[in-house]
Amino acid sequence: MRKFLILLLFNPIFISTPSLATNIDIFDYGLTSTRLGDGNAIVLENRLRMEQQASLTGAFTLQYKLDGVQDMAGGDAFAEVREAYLTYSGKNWEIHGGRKIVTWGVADLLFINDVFPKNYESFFAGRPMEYLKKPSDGIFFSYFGKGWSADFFSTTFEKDVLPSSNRFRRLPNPFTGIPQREKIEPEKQELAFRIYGTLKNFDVSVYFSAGYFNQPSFQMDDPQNPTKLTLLFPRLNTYGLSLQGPARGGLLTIEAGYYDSTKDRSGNNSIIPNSEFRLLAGCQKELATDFTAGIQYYAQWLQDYASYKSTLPPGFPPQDEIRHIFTLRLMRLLNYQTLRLSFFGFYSPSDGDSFHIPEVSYAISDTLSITLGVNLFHGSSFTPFGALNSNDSIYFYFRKSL
Amino acid sequence: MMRLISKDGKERLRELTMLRKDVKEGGEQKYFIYFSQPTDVKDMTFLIYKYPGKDDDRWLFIPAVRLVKRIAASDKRSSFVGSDFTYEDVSGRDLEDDSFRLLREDVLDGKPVYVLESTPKDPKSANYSRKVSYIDRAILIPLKEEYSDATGKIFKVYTTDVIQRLVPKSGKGEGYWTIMKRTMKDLTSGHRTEVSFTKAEYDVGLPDDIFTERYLRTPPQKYIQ
Repeated sequence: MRKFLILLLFNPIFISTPSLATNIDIFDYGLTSTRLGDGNAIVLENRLRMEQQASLTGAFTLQYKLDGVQDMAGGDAFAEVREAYLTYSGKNWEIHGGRKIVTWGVADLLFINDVFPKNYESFFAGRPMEYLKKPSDGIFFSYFGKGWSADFFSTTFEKDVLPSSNRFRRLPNPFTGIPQREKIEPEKQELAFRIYGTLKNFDVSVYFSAGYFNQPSFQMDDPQNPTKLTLLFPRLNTYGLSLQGPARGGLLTIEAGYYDSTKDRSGNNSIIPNSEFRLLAGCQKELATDFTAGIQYYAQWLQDYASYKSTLPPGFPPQDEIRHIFTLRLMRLLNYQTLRLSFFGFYSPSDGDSFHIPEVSYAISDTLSITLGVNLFHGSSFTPFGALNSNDSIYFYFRKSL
Repeated sequence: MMRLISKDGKERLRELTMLRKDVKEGGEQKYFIYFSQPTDVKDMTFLIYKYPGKDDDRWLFIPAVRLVKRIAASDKRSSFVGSDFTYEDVSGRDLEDDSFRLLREDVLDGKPVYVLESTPKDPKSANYSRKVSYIDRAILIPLKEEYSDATGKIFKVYTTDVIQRLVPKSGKGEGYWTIMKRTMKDLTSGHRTEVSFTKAEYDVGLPDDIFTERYLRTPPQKYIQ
């Protein structure tokens, strides 16, 4: 509690600054997330953000987003470049080079064709939603045609940030006790491609990627008597499509993808994940003025299940052949849209795990807003959400423009 | 510039640029809306394809996650960015949705007006039961509109505060009478919204490609100030 008060006193919210050069935005985030079980801070930090979109000579533009981070929970202070890229705009094409956050796909908080790196630690800790996305470094080319457009990206490998034991408690870890660790990260570029357009009011996209799994596979040097654990990221190609458009006064969403684990197409390799199909169907509708609801059904179908089960190392509980997930999003705006009440829930009937996020957000003024929410995990520790069931938390953050 | 003012004088600002293309007179329209203020909506852009007699297609760009999101065709009665104007007040209500009756000719603030009554054909399609408009007889612009609920009580009042005749850059034609400042007041809450145009231009020759995903992500500098 004392740490939080110190944080509040020293952050720039109490310092008045003169207005700066046009189109540089500076704002301050004060973020906290407290674990309900033991009252410890999962996140306690101040982020001073500077963003700008600057037109340079000719058709060049420079954009950047920088965070100056004071991490009170980790006892650290550092700068984080969220984005920094140069753009050249042609008549019907554009090329960007540098660090950029990229998002595509039409599902809500479930990812099929968005194969770009994510920060799940931020998501499960309760940092603002923008921190779920991790930036990519590379070249990003877009072509805009009449009716159809395309994106082609070439990026360096970036892995997902997963919840770590220095912030989260009692995370299941089958590999404790193995003294040596080695991590092998791919050196080749990851490629992602999309072609998209609108057909009869429906947004249609077709996706392809050639890259690597964003989460590691674990190889023990000797499974009977392991002394070294190697983390590697096997090859992954994805192929998919999505459709989104109006239906019966609401919005219908369909997305599908095939995850092709190219180094283990037979499913016999116990270390490398098997290929899988992912399918999602959802709809969203405004039920009453300023009240929207959305539901999704998602399924993940593991291929070559028999091979998977027969090569599973002893002591590892098998995942289901099909993981089903339902999600519900509710959002209500009140008081001239200054107060936002929202809820997002994941529930898996096949695994019995769930993750619920109720949240309240209020815009106190045009420059200051506050958000309060709760992350609730439920399920056995062998399930994806249940693994975090000792980490239910309450999060609070403010955003102040300077 | 939209100023949202509560009963006790507390103000919020919404600064935006709106580009509108009439694809067909009285028919399909395309809207591109770019927010420059306040900072929590800065660089957010909306794209709307409006069709007569059919739900709109709408897209929103969220700069924080660089995501273009399609949004459910919302209730047209819902407030436009938290102001006292609804989506329909901003983009216009389809003529076929109401039945009209000319009540009388009158004088308002010294100006000769037509007093026109509009009643929604489907009571659920609007947030009012009856609207009485005072339309300037010379230039056919509404000077005042009173919105009544089912009990006949006036709950919302619209007023035109400043009108200007704007001639397109081409110099062709007599120009368009444009409402440069308008106010919508909610009589029940005492909240009001004042909309002022700092700049407006017609027949600019907006290219069709502005109303696409490319410009949702990167607003066209040429048209956005």
